[in-house]
Amino acid sequence: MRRALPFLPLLSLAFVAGSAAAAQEPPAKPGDLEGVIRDKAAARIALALPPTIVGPGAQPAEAGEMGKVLRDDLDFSGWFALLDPAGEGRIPPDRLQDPAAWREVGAAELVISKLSIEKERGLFNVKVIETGKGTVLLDKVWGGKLPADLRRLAHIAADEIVRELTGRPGIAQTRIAFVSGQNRVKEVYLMDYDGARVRRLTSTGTINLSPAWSPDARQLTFLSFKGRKPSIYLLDENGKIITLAPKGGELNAAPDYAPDGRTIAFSSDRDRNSEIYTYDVTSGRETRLTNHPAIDTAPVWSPSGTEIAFTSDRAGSPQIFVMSATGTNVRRLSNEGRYNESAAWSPDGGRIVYVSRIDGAFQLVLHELATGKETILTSGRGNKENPRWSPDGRHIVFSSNRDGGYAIWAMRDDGTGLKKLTTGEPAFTPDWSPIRR
Amino acid sequence: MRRTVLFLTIIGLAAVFAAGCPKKQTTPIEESVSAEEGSGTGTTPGGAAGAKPVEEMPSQQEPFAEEPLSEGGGTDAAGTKAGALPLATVYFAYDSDELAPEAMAALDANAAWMREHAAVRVLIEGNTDERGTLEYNLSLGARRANAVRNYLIRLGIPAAQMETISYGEDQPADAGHDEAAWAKNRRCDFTEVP
Repeated sequence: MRRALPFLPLLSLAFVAGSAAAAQEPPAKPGDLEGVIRDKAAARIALALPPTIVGPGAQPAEAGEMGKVLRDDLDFSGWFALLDPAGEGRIPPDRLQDPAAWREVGAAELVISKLSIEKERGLFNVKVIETGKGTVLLDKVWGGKLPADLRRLAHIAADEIVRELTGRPGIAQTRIAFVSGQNRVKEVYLMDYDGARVRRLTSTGTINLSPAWSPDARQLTFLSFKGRKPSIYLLDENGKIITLAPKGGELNAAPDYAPDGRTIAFSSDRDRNSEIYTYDVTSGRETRLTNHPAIDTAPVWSPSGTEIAFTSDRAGSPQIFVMSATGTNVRRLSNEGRYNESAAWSPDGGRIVYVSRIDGAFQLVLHELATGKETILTSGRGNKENPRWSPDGRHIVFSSNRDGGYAIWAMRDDGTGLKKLTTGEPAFTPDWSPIRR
Repeated sequence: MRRTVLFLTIIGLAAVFAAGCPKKQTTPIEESVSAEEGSGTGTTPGGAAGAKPVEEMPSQQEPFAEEPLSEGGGTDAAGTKAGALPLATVYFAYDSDELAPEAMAALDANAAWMREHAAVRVLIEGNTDERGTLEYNLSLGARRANAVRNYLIRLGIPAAQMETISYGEDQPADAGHDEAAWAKNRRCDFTEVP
């Protein structure tokens, strides 16, 4: 049975307001969704991030921008409850770098940042101090060209802070590929994970759809109408389009790169019906995985590469199915609702998010594989489509027309932190890059 | 080793905090940066207490060639479709590729024209309404085009005279967002193979 998310904003507010509220949260009950969510929120680290210090050569506007990017990164990461940068109104301005002062207002960690500039070279110094004993956990300086590297410097620092305080990789340096344009022309675009620095990657003048990252984050596979028939291609780092050569079909679509970095799953209607195949990029060998008169499409790999989830209407309407990577052991995953499609497998392997039509609108549903428990992650106006996971498995990106035209949106995997990443031309089919090694 | 140096630095600085000096000269960051400033490129690891190696960003080798974001690019080519033929569009029910009696009647007439114009190769374009995701709708559009093709083959039209393509939800006939628009968009159009 599905459950909607509890109303969260009040809850988060309580944590930001102070640690006292957190202490009063009831302990999480195992198997209780609300408990899981509360547990997650309670585990957030109370973090103080006073304004970035304007160092020698730097302008207040630059330091302010740097501090804002860093703050947005840390906030969206979901690991932290960020305190008011002015010290909750209880810390005098001259003590904003004092760990003991922040300790008094409930911060567990203090991040002090400073931007200095020599000629065009920016130096970004970030210090993480545990407020209890004043232990310095991190103290690093990053250097780069300004203004070009300003956002990247902040992202690098954010990821380092996340790694230091959680032991987990951050996602602030990841990127999102998507398509944008009107009906007859959609090109592939790339942007930073926070929606900044949008740049166009293709200029075919045709429809392009469904870009999907290679596991090393150095290639994208995508569907293009650039040839005589819509088919799948690769886009390399230099912007060169490489034609793949599946053996034909009127429509080769919905590609997804396997974790092995050489196999692409896709759908093809070469037999005049959409079936799922794999294509080996190095050998050109193809393998047919499904054989059913219904539509089978939108394959996505499990992170282990041993299974594939896909959309099929073999049950009379579109539903999510799972099969082995060789096409055996097909079983139905979605059981509620008449119209379920567009699955995405979480990087930890334990969850699948998909699109479900609920009361006439398309919403995102999270399915936990171990228990079969389902949670409706989104609600309200407009459709939410084509979900994809962040590489840390803590965020979901998708396309939605919830405030008018289609745009790319991202949120945490508990439905909080929702933010719109693109404006202007309609945007669709996002895919979140792996963390680049 | 580095940790120890930093720790000692901090102890010293904590004393400074306690003394309440103005932050401009006393913050840990001020000290580390001024120490770094003396070390040229900043890549030399630690000498004086508080000096830190600067991790230099790789020069902007942005993977994937960038093209500037075109403002207002990608607008529709206006006007009538290239390769328009005097063949009737056929329509479908939601999430269906079944041919209704009206669709079959339209296809009977289309088949008559195609028999008289056997040299004209016909492209059957499958389309869907906007509901649902792009990938599924591409497959659904293909299914509609194939349903039309199969029916025309049964009427004796040679397979070689036809090609199919699916545009999914990407080429709506009506840009509206209600059932009236959707009904016009769940369709197969007929054009000449380019």
